[in-house]
Amino acid sequence: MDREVIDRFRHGDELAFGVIFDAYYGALVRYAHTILRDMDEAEDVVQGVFIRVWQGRERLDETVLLRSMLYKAVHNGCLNKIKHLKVRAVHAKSVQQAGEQFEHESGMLDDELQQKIDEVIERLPTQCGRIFKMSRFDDLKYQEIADRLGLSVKTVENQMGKALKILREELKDYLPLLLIFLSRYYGE
Amino acid sequence: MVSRYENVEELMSKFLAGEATPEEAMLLEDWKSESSSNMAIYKRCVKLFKASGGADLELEPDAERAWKAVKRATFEVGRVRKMLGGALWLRIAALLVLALGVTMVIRLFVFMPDNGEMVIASGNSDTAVTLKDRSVVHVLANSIVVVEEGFGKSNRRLKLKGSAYFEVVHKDKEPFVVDAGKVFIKDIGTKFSVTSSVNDDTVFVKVDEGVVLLFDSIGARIEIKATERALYIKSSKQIITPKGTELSGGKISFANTSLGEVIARLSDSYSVSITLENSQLANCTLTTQFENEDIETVLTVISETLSLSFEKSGESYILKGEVCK
Repeated sequence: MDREVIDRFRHGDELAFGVIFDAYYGALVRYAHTILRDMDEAEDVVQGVFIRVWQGRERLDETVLLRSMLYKAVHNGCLNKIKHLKVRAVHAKSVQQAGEQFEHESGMLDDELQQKIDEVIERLPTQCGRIFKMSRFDDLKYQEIADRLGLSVKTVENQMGKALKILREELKDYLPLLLIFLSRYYGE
Repeated sequence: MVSRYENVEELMSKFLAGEATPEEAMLLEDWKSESSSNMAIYKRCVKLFKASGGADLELEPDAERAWKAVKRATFEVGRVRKMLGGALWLRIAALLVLALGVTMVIRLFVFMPDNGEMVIASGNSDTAVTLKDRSVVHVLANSIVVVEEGFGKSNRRLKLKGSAYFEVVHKDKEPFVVDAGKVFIKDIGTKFSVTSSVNDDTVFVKVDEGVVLLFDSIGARIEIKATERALYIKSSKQIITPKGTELSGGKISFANTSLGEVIARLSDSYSVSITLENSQLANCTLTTQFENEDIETVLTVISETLSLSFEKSGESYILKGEVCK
């Protein structure tokens, strides 16, 4: 982000504010969405951050790393939102519902394909598979998984990465099909 | 290119699981933009996550709508948006209370004199004026356009303080030049808008049709083509070309505009398709303005004003009716 644009922004230039908004809004909402799992809540948090940043613009240090500040503010905003909304409780429910929903919806996917995905997940190395399922299906946080299995968070991170890598490898021949089916279903 | 490939899946799965720290989120965003193959890998992983029982992280937010909401909650809070009637005395009164730091003497002429300078000062609402060369200037609220002497004959120069939208009839011999204070915008056959920020240091130009040349007195210059836009910062003499959604929009004015043109402008601003069921309707005229309204509200107002109706069909709209009233 241009130094000049940030300075303009600090001095109250609305157009500079717009340029900054343009540059970061999408990415910040995507980040918030991964944490909150709800697009409306995510947009809410990010918009709130932009509003507060505007209100506090004069107090911004000349050397401020705006991007870094925005990401941190969004992260905090999401954690606060979770606390206030007790999203975990709601989400656990919706994950369950989504899971059930997915069962029905997956009827849309080619049977063979769906089987293949489940198969690959089953074939993951023991530890890896267990951790992956706890994250995706039981919707547990890394820390919770680590605590339950007596591992370090670093190990959990490592195993999740491994799972994703294997999935990509095993399903790479199916991916073009996967893309077609998923995009047709999800209406891209 | 530094390949952090070994760690990318770790980073990616952490991010998709909602566990990434702010620094990690930025890192991933940078990695994504490094190349189109990185972007493709990211997209595939998002789909895999979705297929394996996760949330739909492919959804994109509506940035336009969001920006409107943020604007309303920030710098647009104090603005007075009153529509004054056409009464001349009201406009003069409004002018006298304008707190824009305008020091020039204001003579309000609604009709064009044969010679001499003409000042178009809009007061609290937008004003559209057709100039001698058939170009149209829509002067937005709280802005002033000064048409220089001899306009249409020896030159086509205007001074602008504030914001305006121009529809210029192209003439090779007399270039249409807008002086926005230290920066000039010259048409090369066009429809464009010039918006100045409140502190008058930033000028934003958006071109709808044709080509416009933006230049200053010390050599910076840039050609802006249709659908492109540029920002000029006076104090640092810098030209910036931002990418992304429209910034100066949100406000749309029509002054005796034909319905044909109205729907063309709306289609463009809202990126939707709007058509007329009956082509005769294209000649109806409309005078009104909208600010930060969604397309359905706009179409509702237009329909009620002209005794028409509209229908949504898929992603497009159709205006229906026999005749306008």
